[in-house]
Amino acid sequence: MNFITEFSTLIKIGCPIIGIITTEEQRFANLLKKIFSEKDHFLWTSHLGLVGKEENIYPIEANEAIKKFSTRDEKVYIWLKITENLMEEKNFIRALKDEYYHLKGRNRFIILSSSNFAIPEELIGEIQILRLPPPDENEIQNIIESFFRSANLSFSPMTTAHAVAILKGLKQSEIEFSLKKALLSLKEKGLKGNGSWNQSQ
Amino acid sequence: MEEKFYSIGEVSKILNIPVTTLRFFEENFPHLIKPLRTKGGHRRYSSEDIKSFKFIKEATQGTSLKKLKEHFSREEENNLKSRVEKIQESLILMDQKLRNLEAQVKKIEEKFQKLEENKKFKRWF
Repeated sequence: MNFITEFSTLIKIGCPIIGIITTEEQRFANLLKKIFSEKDHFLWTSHLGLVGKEENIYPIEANEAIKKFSTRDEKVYIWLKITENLMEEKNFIRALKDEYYHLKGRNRFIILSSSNFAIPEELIGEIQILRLPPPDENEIQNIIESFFRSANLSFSPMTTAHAVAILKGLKQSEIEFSLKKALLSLKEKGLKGNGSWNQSQ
Repeated sequence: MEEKFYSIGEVSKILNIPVTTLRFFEENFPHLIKPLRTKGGHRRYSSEDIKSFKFIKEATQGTSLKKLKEHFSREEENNLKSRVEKIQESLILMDQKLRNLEAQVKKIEEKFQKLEENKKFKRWF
């Protein structure tokens, strides 16, 4: 089972609170867009506050943001980018606990993302935790193809497969950084746009 | 090594989940649980299927089968409603397009008629 299948299953079941262990926020944001097909939502971060379509409340605590979300039925989900220590705050735990019962089976979701999670005892069984793994082969291939398409370069399928194997296990940002470096080195070698990159190069 | 396959009874014992619940999971998560069939038509589950059953079991912990069934039938109803709404919207759009096309045909016919009349007039003249 891959990450999207697991995440979509939790959504289908109607799990109200889902915690995602990741440091790849941008990639997770793109996956969320894909899974929820751009449905109306809130985003909360400690430095931006609560951000929605054409609205921004700042400053606002995470527990208050959850309460605000709860009253706005048109919002399908709220994504809170949290730090590990927030999971120790009593107000936050209380807000999550309350909303768990309020949102259960209503197809509205609280999505928490952090680089690490220590679930407090009070919330065990109420938060489903998933770890976002590094991009799989298909994702890496898409990243490579879109990167080189934008650079007006083409790859042979064999070279793409070779690059996928090399880049496996890296985060999306690391893959993009490697590709940028590769592109710079190609340019230094005098390769112009519309050129192709063979494995030997 | 050859992969081992399990009957539903075996899966039920391994995971401590009633057979009826397993069947419900299988029915509602066909993209996750894909059993093979024996020549006699019996289902055989792979270790990947067992992992999926376990994942669903953990995700639905604390929710009764009755509640889950209610949730899914509500979901199905909502999906149907939104599909009907989308079909209605596209029907309205198609109707509008059809009317526009009819109006255009009418205009072309009128122009054509005028041209024919002009031709007749010129011939007469």
